[in-house]
Amino acid sequence: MLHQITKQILSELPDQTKLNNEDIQVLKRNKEFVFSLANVLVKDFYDALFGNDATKAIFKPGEREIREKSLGMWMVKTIEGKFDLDYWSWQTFVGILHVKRRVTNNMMIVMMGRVTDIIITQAVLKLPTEEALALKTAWIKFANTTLSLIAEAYHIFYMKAVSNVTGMNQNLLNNAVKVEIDNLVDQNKKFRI
Amino acid sequence: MRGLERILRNLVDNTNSEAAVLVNSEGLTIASVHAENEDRVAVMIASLHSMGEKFSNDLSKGGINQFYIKTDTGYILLKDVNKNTILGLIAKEDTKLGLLMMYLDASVKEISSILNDDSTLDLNVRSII
Repeated sequence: MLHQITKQILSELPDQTKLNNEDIQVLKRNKEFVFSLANVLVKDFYDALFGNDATKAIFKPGEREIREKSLGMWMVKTIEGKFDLDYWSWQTFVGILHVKRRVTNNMMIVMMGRVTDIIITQAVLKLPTEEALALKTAWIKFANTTLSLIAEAYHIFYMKAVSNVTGMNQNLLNNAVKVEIDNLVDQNKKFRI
Repeated sequence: MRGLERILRNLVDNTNSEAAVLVNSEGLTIASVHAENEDRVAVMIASLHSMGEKFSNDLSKGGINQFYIKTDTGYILLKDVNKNTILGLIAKEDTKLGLLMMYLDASVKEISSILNDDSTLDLNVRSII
């Protein structure tokens, strides 16, 4: 099922936004460089999360070390550059885990942005300009594809869980949401351009 | 569709009820009488029915064929017409429940015979969307 949903989400992304062979070669070529940032990235990532009450509340006491190892593993696997269906399905699975842990998409999106910012900044500072630009493009495509999978999987599995627990079929859920959204649009007409 | 509305109107009039709505399992209205916020009511009827059926199945009690809710000001009754169609009736507090159930059963039979006869109904519902 994860493969199927992953394929569906990926199929909805324009080709220009997805990694091509050239991008993958750029990522592979800069494997050591990205990996050299791992410790800084992991520390910065969890410092940020533990510095905010809402994101800090996601973690159990003593969990930081385990999560840091997980993020490190994610980086290692990512920079190997094997972006096959199994890899992307793993990102989709993260979306399911995020529903379970109540890691909302706003939290996830800004943290991926933070990682991207650090990688691009360091690339600009330490790599030849052309290579830094190539890495920027490849990393942004990778990051956005990952964001799309996690965010959409979060939505799909959230709805699936509601559908399963209530017995409401997908079309009924869609109609229920439509009725509610029409109402919300009416209530907030002033924001329409 | 006119025939269905006639049946619903008779049901509402005979039972002094507030509204009647016939919906499909996707929460789309097939026919209705006096229903305010018809789309919303249709979705709620189908949702309640789905949840009741899921609950009943999870308890190994089989499917449901009738759903009864007593509110502060009356009753909400749902009754299966067939696998994909539900009749919802919003009744007043002073209604005579026995009589209402009798009319409800009779209406379901009438609706069922129309739906069985009208193979184009599904297409009609979709063309309304």
